Amino acid sequence: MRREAPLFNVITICLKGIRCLDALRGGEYNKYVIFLYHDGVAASGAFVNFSFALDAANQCFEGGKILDNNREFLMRRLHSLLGIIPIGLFLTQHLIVNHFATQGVESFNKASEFMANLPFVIFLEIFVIYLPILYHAFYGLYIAFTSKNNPGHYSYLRNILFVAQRYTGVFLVVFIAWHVFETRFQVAIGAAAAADFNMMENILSNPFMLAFYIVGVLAAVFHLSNGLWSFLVTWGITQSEASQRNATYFTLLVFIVLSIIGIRALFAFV
Amino acid sequence: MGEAAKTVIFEIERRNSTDENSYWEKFELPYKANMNVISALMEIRRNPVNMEGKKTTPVNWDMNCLEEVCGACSMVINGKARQSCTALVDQLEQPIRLQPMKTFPVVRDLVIDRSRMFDSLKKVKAWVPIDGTHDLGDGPRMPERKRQWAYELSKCMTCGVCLEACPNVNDKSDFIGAAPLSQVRLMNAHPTGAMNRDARLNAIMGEGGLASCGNSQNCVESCPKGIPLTTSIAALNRDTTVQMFRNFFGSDRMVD
Repeated sequence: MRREAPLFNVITICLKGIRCLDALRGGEYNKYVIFLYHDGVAASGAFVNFSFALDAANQCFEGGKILDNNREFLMRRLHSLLGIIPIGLFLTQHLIVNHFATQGVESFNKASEFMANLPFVIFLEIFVIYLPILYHAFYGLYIAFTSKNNPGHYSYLRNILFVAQRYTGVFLVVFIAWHVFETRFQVAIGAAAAADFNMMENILSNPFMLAFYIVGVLAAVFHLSNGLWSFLVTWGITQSEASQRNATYFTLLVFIVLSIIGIRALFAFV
Repeated sequence: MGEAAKTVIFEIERRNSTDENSYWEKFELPYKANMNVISALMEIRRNPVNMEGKKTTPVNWDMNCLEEVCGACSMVINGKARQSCTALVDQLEQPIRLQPMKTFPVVRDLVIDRSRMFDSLKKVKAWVPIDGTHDLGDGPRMPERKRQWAYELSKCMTCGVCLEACPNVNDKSDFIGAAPLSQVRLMNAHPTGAMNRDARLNAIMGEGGLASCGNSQNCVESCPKGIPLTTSIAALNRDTTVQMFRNFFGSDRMVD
């Protein structure tokens, strides 16, 4: 059987001066074949009706700009990565160094002095601590304030942890800012000689500050543990329900262990 | 029977049009065995008299299949989004509160406009394109086990419940929600659809795409069809991780 070649009319649609869509109308089938262009190359073609074709073209191009803009994607991924590397690692290291306080004044001061006198310490601080934390904090605030929390009606565990992640995050911005101002900043401006045992002993002798620090340490450890769980999902490491559940148990363990280390260190100063 | 006649009380959040303010209206209906929310709404439509005995306008709602496969009758019932056709009055706490899914534009009363979901499906290219004007013959075969697995993902009826339950789908964000993301996984799993998987992955790496997910997992808890939405999202996270490196370090051919 001979099949007649269908006759096509080429209709080119331009949006904002960019040729983004060729529609071929086949007389025989009365269907449109659309070709969407991406950087001048036909990216996809499909049999669709014409309004769908136009809609699709409108969706792909907005103000002459292709919506494949992945800046938000990269920023979210960077936010997730920085939370674990280096911030999570730094927090763990910080709590472990603090734990020297349980072995006495000398032991803590030795450890803290070692950390404060690492070679290139200012660059380590800027690139491993300050810049990552500032990015994580500011982008995190944006994330926290663009959610519409609904733990009341949807009181599932993960949703409650989702809300807690946002509340602890906002609280930590305040806590960390105050903590850095009270310790590292005072050393930097010369108001204090060193961030040593005495300094922390003075701060924590105030019961309100002790409570503030306990809440701060617990919030930070929670935020890291739960953030580790969502890091594993965000990067596609834990996919199945079972793996995500096991990750919940694992991160709960991380929370308990780091909390004990952090709280023991705090009480060593009291 | 001998007992006092049983009644059911409904509180409905109503509004006359998209721009108008909402108001609550109460209705008391005679109880009937096995009644569901839709049969109650039909009763109100038959006799639109509110609890104060005043005649009012019938309540507007959307419905179609009445067997939880079309997704049209989704609404917020006692605080949770679900289909009203399968919401049995016997299983609901009274008074039964009905609200529209306000994540979407409310047309009138309980009727909402879910267009944004269909627009999202276009955005993420949730179709299998045919790149030729003539018959190309049979496509590649899909293994039966994979087909059975993919069937679960294809049960999505675009009902909007996952978007309503999601804390990150709101007027402050342009997040497209779980349903269209899961469709990307479905289309990418199709042997012919997989030929354009990079185009879909790049689409969901755009504004309001995959990255806006905050892992609250309300979607998978709320999905009436039991679609593994969070597994889909995590799987797409892995695919886009690879795609991200491919885009940056890869060759000009992104598919393979």
